[in-house]
Amino acid sequence: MGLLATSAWLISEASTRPPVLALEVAIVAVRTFGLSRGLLKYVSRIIEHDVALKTQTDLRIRIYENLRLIPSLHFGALKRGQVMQQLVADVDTSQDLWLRLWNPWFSALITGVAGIGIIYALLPLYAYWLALLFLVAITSAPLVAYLSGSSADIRNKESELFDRVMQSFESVDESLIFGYQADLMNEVTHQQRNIARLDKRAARWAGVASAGYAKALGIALVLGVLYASRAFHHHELIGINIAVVILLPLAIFDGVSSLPIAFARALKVKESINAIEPLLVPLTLDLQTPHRKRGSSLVIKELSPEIPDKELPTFSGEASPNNPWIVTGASGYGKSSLLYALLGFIQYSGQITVDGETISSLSPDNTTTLLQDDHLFVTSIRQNLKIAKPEATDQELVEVLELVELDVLLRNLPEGLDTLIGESGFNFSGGEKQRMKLARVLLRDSDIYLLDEPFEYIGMAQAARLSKMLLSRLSNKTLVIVSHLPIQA
Amino acid sequence: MKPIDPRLLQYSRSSRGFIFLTAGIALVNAVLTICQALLLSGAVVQIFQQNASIRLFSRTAIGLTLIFILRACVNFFGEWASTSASTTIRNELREKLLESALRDGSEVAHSGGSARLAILATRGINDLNGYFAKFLPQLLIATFVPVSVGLVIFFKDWRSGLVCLFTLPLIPLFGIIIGRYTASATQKKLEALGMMGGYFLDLISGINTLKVFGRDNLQSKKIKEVGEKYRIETMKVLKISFLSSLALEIVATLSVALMAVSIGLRLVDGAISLRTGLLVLILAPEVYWPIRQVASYFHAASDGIAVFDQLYEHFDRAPHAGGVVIRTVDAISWSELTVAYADREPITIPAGQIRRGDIHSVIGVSGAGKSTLAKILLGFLTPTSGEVLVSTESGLHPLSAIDKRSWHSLVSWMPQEPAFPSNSLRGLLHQAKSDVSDPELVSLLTRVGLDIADLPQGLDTALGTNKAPLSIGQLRKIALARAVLKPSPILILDEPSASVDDISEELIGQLISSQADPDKLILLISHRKFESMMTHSSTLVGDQE
Repeated sequence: MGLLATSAWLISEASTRPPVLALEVAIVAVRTFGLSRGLLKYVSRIIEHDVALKTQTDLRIRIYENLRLIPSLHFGALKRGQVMQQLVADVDTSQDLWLRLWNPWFSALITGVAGIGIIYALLPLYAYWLALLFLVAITSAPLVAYLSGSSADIRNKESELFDRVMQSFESVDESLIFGYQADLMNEVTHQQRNIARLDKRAARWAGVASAGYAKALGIALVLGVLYASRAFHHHELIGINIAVVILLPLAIFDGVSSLPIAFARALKVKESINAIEPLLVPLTLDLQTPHRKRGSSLVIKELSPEIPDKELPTFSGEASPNNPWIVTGASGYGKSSLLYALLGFIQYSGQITVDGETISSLSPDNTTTLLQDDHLFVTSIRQNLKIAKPEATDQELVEVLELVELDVLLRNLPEGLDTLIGESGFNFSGGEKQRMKLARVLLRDSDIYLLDEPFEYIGMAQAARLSKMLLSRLSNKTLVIVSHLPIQA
Repeated sequence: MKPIDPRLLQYSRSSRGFIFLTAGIALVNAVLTICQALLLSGAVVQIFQQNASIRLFSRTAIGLTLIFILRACVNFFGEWASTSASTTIRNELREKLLESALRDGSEVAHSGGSARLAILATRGINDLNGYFAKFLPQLLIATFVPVSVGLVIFFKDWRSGLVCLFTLPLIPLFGIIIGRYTASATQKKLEALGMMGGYFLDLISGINTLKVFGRDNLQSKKIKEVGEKYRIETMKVLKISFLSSLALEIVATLSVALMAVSIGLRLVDGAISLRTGLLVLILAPEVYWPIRQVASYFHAASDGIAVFDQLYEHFDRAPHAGGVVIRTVDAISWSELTVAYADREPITIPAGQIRRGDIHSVIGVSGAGKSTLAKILLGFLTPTSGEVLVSTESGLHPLSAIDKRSWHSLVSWMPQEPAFPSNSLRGLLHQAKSDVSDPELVSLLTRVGLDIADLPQGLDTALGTNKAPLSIGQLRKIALARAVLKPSPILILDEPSASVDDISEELIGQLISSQADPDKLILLISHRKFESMMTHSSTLVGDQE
């Protein structure tokens, strides 16, 4: 803007032919304005983005820290796609709020106010009109963005679409065999159309905003011409400043032009922030009695796990070293829920005692658990095993892998312990993954072990061998084994 | 990296019309810009030289008003057209991606992981909005406006025209150089984002495992690391792209200043009229502005262009050639099959055969390649060596020569890890066979050992991503029921009794035997011996115990 105003002044000045010397000043001013503006903008943009990205990481950590406190089953009920959308996309867009909205808004405002100030000094009446038009332009942007809004709708729809797409990818093979791929595609198409309809409505408003800006500028310019000419006729304005009066509005409205887009975006960002917000509120777990740190004699009395919409049986039993408790029963009976209750992941009624002392749940510090939905992470075998024991040496890792009869496989892997386990353990068979998880359990030392279907996907003969190995190796530990297969204790 | 890839026009029909429309709008914009400058400079001169009559004046005012109304309309139309076209094109591309990614089954499509693919299909394609709604229209404006405005300047004042001529090419030149440099950085940023998506999903999926090992408190550090990596990659891209816009701004500013100074000096000499000088000065920024605007959108668009490359990778994969359509299957036989994996020993499966009426069991320790055989027979995996031959009504065909769709219609399958779509239990089973009544479904479920009373909403129980209330055993029973329900000659059951208790194992055994009819070919994958008792033939995979 400085550039434009000075240039205008320069040219008008030149045409009234003052000494060339006076012009030199103006020439220097033109150049300085031009260069410094670019440089300042560069530096500020870099700093802003860097700060925004750092904030983003902190935000992610806060979200994770909260998610980790949500008791497991509630969390499992959340849709995977939604979690993903929240963690990655929302956090990603939240950085933009300051950058894309307030930055352009303030620079537009400052430019506008300064420009109008200059005009006020020259032609107060015109400045009032300009101020009015500017006010309309600068407020219409957020207004229009709000009207085009309903970005919450778009957001929800997009999140649904993501779930759909994710699902079609996950069940691609089954959809081919059972011929429902067309159905999946139709649903995606349908959802896309809905989003497109909302998008187009938003686009119409964005178009109105963009046209509105052009109109405000137009009116300002026409008014400028009229006022300037009248003032000139009445000798209220000297020649040099006329050009300034007519050209300056171009600069004043320059900043406003980008605001509609900024605001449309900002509303989306706001939605993202709203979506994250509940995850930022610290959750507190209702634990009446602290975890029992040590102890090995576990007694469970009439424990009944509580899950919404489901009747679960009551469990009673006890386990101590050399006396494992083996829980058998039909699938869907509630055996896994028993373990969840013991871990404090879900609500229950009944009593848990360790060494005679009643506790609310077992502490991970003293309990090693093999969950039925135990997860192998997308990383190396070594890292996956070390989750159980970070300080474990490679020698120890090889030893436990040998115990679960994975030594032959390990030797055949060119990268050995560094072999990556793909998405959901893609490169390994179900049985190999299960044995890997067993190895992880064996690596860890604790008083109590909770094992959910430890020999899933493992052949009969091998399962019998592994079961024998497991029971002898953990004979002096407290074992609770949940299984649908008989286990020789 | 090309700004407009010809493949785009090939893959998206809507994009063709859109580009012509946008070009038209750009042209109108150029004309309006020039008219506006002419009127504006005229007005100033009139005032300045004190020869302005009110009539002349109102004429200018009317002219300007008209131009602004027109500009407003063009702006409105342009904005609306580009955004809706962007939506349409993106939807077209997404459908195309889904089609090509889903066509060949998971082995082909999922090489990069399903989460990555889902990100590409949703967020990745959404990123193209910057390209279609902003970059492309601006690119066309930047080709029409500077050239036409530059020509006007040249005719009015050739010296200023020369400045334009020499400085203008610098801007795209800078843009290209910097763009080349940014391309790899953008790719890295996209990878970092994909990695972060996969990383979070992994972390969330395994949060229970982390909890039970008491390791969940250490992940924040890891998130910080991954986040930092993403920040560093992003900042690299941003620094370059901001630097590019700085460079462009400096070129543009210096050029305008150069013109302004030269015009000013010549005005002092009286070598140029005020009218011309003003006109050129008003027009001068218009030459550079659209190109700089392209550069500022380029940052957003380069994300999009990187997405294109990933998309084309999927689109360019040729669809399977039609193949022979078959209706019946008498026997399937295979020679010794090997499958090479990138990171493990190749798997070898001995030759075997299944005939009509057979129950063929595949027995072996875990990891020996039992599921691999199932994948090959399902047509999802092509063996590295060896061949599967299918005896049909029209003679013997290699499996690879058979039309995939017709093959899939003849096969039913119980996967080891079922992944159901969002549907009710009833809807899911109807996908296998549509004309089955509810009582029939209930009795079938009972036969696989699933008591309908155990399900929260009976046949209306929702399945899909949100499978919280059902156990893995229950889900597998449903998958078994679905597999048996589909009236197809070939039935492949992958570990039907894993995760299932003794009682239902017996039921499942009975069910499988009852499936044996003279027209069916059944492939039973199992590590349990009892199932092999009732089978007719078997393949032993891997070392036997």
